[in-house]
Amino acid sequence: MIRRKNEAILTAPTLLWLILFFVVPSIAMVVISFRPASIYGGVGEGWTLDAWRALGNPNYPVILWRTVRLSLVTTVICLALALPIAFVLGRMQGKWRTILVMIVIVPFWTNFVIRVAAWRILLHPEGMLRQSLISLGIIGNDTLLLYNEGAVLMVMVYTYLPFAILPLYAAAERFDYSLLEAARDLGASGFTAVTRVFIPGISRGLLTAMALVLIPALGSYVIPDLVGGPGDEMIGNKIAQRTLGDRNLPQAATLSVALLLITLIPMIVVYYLNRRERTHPA
Amino acid sequence: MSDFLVFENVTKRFGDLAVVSEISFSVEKGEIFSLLGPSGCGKTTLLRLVAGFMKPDEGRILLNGRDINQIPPEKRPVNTVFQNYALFPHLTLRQNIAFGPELAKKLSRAEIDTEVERMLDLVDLASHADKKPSQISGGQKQRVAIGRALINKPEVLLLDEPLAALDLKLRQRLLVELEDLHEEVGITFLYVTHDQGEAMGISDRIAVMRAGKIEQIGAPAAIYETPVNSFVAAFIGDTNFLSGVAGEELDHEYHNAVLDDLGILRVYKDRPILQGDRLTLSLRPETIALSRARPGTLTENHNAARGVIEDMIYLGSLTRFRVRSGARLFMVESQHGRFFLDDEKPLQRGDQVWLCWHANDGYRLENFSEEDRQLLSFPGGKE
Amino acid sequence: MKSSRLPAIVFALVIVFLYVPILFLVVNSFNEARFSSTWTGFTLKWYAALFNPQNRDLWEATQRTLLIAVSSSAVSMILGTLSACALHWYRTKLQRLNYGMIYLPVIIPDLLMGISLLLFFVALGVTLGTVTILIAHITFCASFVTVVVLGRLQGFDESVIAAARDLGATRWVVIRRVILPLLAPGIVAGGLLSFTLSVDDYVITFFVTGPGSTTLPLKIYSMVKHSRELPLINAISTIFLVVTFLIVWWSQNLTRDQTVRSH
Repeated sequence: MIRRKNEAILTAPTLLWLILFFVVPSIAMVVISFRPASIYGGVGEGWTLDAWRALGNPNYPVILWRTVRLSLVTTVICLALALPIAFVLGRMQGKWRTILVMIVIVPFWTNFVIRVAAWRILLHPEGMLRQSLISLGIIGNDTLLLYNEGAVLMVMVYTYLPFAILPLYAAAERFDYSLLEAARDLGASGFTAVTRVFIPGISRGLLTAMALVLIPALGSYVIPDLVGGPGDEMIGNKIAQRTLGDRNLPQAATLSVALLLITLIPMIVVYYLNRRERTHPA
Repeated sequence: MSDFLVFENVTKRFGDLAVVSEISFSVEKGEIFSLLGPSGCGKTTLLRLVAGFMKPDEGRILLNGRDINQIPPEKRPVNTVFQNYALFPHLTLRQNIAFGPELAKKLSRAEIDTEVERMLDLVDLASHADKKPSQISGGQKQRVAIGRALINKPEVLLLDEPLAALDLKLRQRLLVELEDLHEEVGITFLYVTHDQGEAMGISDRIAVMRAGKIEQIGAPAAIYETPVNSFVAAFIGDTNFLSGVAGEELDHEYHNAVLDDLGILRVYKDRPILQGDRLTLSLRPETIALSRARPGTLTENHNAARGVIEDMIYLGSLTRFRVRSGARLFMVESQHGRFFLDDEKPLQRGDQVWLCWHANDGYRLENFSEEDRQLLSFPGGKE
Repeated sequence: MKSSRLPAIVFALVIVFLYVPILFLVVNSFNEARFSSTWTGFTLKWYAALFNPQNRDLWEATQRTLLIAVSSSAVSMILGTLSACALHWYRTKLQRLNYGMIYLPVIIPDLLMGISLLLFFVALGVTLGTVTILIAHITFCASFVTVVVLGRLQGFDESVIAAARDLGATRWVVIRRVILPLLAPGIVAGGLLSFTLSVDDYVITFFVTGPGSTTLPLKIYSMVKHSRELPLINAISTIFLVVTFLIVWWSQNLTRDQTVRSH
């Protein structure tokens, strides 16, 4: 049944589609980053390093660093919250497990813009939450819940948490919980058993979760735009501004290539660690 | 009408490895023929060659006098009962069984329906006909698989370890059902199994295979009682291997032999042997009798040896003993009426006993290989 | 056993965290008050307002969103099924390349896919609009369908194919009567996933959209951004939520069906 011709028929449509609309555009992006901007908002002729030099402009390194910092903090918080949840879910059996997994997944299926909008409305200066906090005296009259880094972080955690829970749960589901009893039997405290046996046991899920949160977090644009203030911009906001605000496409391309390079780091780390684990199984 | 399904010098290689090498034999019309051997012996490959999922690298396979090598699997007049049943999970049992006739397009819809009903009755599944495979038990799946194959009236039904996935009791029951079914439909069965009990129970003839070759073909009793070599003897049931050197001829039926660690004993001569030749006997454990005293009624054709019971396992219908006689160990199986209630005190570990057997029960093997001992329940025949 | 209670507490708090904004939104869609600071009474007027002639652009955006979602999932179902079969049945160098190619669009930030497609379309001088949105959506949906169908293929009992051949089926009949029906739940689940992803997408659409090709997420976004008609957003979101829940519930039933069958 196996024929080269069949393989080509099955492979070609999608592969060609992805080469045309994914690979070629990515290359175009790199190429355009070395082009000058035209006055009409397009891409000019000739070659230049202007857009790359502009990255030295003190504005960009600050934003790049903020992007990385916020994404890393989001990842750490997401993993910290997802670990106990995966631990509980993995140990459960039967109907309740399915129901709880569904409860965790359902918000994830609701529209992304609506989820962020919900937070914006909830934290709105005129909103119920801020007004009640003020009347309870918990926050002062001049404290805003919106337009600050805290809001950005919280909504990022809210958005990316399912990406951490699902792979960790998948790993915990395969984890043999009797190993924890064995560890306790051999003298480990509950906490030690979890750190020395459970976490190494689901290490691959942990890696996947890390990548699945960190990578999209680095590309955040909607969240800082809707719930952040002017001082909370991330690289995604700058790319959008350069694209649709002042229409400097080569600059947008340069920033995107920089973002791409940053996201490649966790991808390569995960790939390398995964491969090492496969060749030296724990 | 003999030589219905014929294999002529069939060889199949995977890379450099010949999984089946130069095999020739033939199956008669209407018989149940088993291919028996350990995993990796090439028996399933042989079956898949008949089904058409593979083509032999050399040799031909003839069915009813016709070379079937070039016929694709869907055109061959054979059908397979797969090891894991391979039922279509998206179809009901009825639709599974109707799959073949619908594709054949030889029958009208009404005729197909009648045939399917008849087949459902035959495999006793009429009441489950509209269930999906996931809703029925393993034994029932097995019967669907058989029905689905049989409805096409194949000239040969190929069964690939059809009972392997079932538990022991169900396996025994379905084996009886399979035999009844065979009597009813009269189709030739080619049956692949690694379970010697299954093969012995169902087959008219068995081919014992090892490493891509056939070691012996014969009726179950012939294979059990007159195995050609130590592999066949050890793979089918348990046995004791007694090696030694042929001694003087006593009469036209018996001769003496000096057996290692046992001394001079009497050996049955079913075919000529020269004095001084090495020989190995296969002596089945149930042919040896144990007693506390030397039985007084022994004829001159009986052999006797002294031993000590080193171990015993009570298995209900029989007890298996390990008896040490000098430097060697015997495996002995004895049936008993009532283990605790008989007048005589039951044998116990450490007891001194006599081992007796009739010279005719030790069958001389054509070939002996020391490593075949590994196939025995306790290989420590010699230490 | 203090240690065994902490995870459960975290779990409970996270569930509250996950649902508070959503419930807040749903409740407020029935709130009489224009600003959600107080509850002044139950009303359906925000839902009624959605049908005002002045909000016709919302319905146009909805129609466009659905059209794009249906067409892009249809195309991705075909592309994804083909490539999943290729990845599952062949172990060649080409497939290793193919594998990376399928997974990259899933992994990289959607922002990058959006900007690179925009630059590509601008460089080619393509007019941005519904067609470019459609192309972009197919590009990321095809990968997701591939992943879902590939998962379905991994539980596929290959001997079923041999059984069908044995019973007289030609290759084409095997594909039509055995492989496709067995993959159907996976293909449909992949299609539903594509549909939701397409309806959900804001970032990529934002980059490749043109004048007059507003989709619902774009529309909602601009309303949110300018804090216009927030109660209307509550109403739209609630409808959106209900519809998504129904689709998810349906697709979950499909996948449950598929796990029952594979046992």
